[in-house]
Amino acid sequence: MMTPLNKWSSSCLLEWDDLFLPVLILSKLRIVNFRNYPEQNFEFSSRFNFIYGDNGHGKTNILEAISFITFAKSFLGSSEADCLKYGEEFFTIKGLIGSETDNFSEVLLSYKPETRRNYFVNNQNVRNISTEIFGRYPVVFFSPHSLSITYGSPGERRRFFDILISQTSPVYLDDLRKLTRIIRQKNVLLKNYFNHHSDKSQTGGLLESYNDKLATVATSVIQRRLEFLSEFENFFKENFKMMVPDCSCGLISYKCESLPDLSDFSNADVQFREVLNYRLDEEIQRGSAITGPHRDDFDFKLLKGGETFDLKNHASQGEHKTFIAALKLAEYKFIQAKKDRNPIMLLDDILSELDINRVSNIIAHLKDFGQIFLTTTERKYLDQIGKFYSENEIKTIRVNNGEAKQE
Amino acid sequence: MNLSDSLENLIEEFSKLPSIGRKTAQRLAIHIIKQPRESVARFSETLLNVKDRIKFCRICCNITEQDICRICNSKKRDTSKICVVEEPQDVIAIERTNEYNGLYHVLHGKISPLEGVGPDDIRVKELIERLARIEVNNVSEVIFALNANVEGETTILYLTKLLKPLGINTTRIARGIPIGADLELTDEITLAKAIEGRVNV
Repeated sequence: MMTPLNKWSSSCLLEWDDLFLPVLILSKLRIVNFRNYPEQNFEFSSRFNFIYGDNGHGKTNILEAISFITFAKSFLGSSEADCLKYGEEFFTIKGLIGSETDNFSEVLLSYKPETRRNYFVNNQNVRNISTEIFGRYPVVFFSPHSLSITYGSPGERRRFFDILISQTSPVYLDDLRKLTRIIRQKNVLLKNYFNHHSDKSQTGGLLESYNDKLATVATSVIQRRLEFLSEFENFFKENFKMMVPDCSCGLISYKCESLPDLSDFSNADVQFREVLNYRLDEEIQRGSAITGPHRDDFDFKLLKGGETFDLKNHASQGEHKTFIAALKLAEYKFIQAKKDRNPIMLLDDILSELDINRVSNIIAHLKDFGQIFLTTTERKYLDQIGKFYSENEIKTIRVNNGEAKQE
Repeated sequence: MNLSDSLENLIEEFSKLPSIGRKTAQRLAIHIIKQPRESVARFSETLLNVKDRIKFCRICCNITEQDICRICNSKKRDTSKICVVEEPQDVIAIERTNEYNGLYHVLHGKISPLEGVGPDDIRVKELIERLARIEVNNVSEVIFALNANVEGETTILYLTKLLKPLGINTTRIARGIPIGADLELTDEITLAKAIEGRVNV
């Protein structure tokens, strides 16, 4: 077998001329029995969509519907069943997605509790949603919920980066799926071994085989994460600087406990295998696979006045928000560079968390982006947006109790 | 609604079959009712016949009506190669190629601890005993043709370890793009694996 081709070649760091990139656009949306909407049609602007209304009236639901057809999942992590309007038997979400350069596709998601979900692109049933849809219509979400990336557990950070890397690398997504499967199988073996359910030498032999397989997949996942990070870092630092022009700087590093040397991957699987052997007794004791990239973390740090601070324990709320905003903008720029197209940006209630200077700063920055959907409770932000967008580029949608009206 | 107990029982039996749901089972059961009696009798007889006559080959564990299957019995086969597969239908698939002239070994499953399937639940012991037997010790290569998922690949790793002391060469079939398929229509993962496994020309 030959050495794998480098997935993240440096050529991707070229300066892109945003104007020539095809912009992904959701031009129309129709939702039926989705959350609190009985039936609703939308026509969107290809630039800025301003969705406002009081809390609990269904602003976020519109963004969630968009995430379902672009991403095949809810950006809030809810299941399809959660989204079915109370007392109804099905829901459908239909959208028209495309870019100026290629034809628009009609994307339809229908859900019934008995038949689960069905996904159609131009009336063709999509069989393997995760491989065929994931990454096809890139989207970036940003909501107060995103704060869990810096505040939350390592799992939240892995989830954020895993989704981001998967959108640009199907092989990474496949590796992740294999990893999850191997870990689940291995956990059963470890429990069997500990409980003496079965023949020890046989279970031990099987454990060895699963560890061999784990070593290959795990090192591939770690290597791809590192390669990704070395490239993503540049996008992140650039965007961080833009938000905080003073001397502070954000740092991201990969925290890996299963590989001692992350600089050399020539025999990483052998090294990883040794760590697995070393930890075997502990894993059997705990009855759980505790070694591998499914336990790793991404470390966030701030560089201020020549000193580095741990973001989690030492940063102010404002610094957390800045960090997240820079992460999200970098996510956008990264996908844009990788996919050669502008992702759709969904901004859910993010302005109320920030002071007016930052709002102005962010909106000024958004002008270079593709299609944007923004929800807020305050109509007043429309004036801010009007400074950067012309009137016919903004579509204003007022949401009131499961009904949306265009202004 | 339950129209009749015997009909309900039949639907129940049909829905136990793989890839048959409740609705299909119902359609099949109604179909049976509409058939003439002799055709139904033939059907049930055929079912029992299969069960009574079919057994597993003493050597390769493939399905056969004799003690030893046609392939193992054949004088024309190359006895130095054994191709290990998961199910009897995989043998049929490889035989259709007309390109493989060796012998087979059918595992009847793959190892998957999650589903409670260990080496003792599939025909691993038979394979090891077979390879260790003196009269067939001219086997020079064991070819694994298992499905390319986590369980298939781990089963290969496990068996390879067991076979190592016997000093037999082990190989795995290649994976890549189907012949005649359009490159642009091939899924990304297969394509990526094909690039990884590229060969010199």
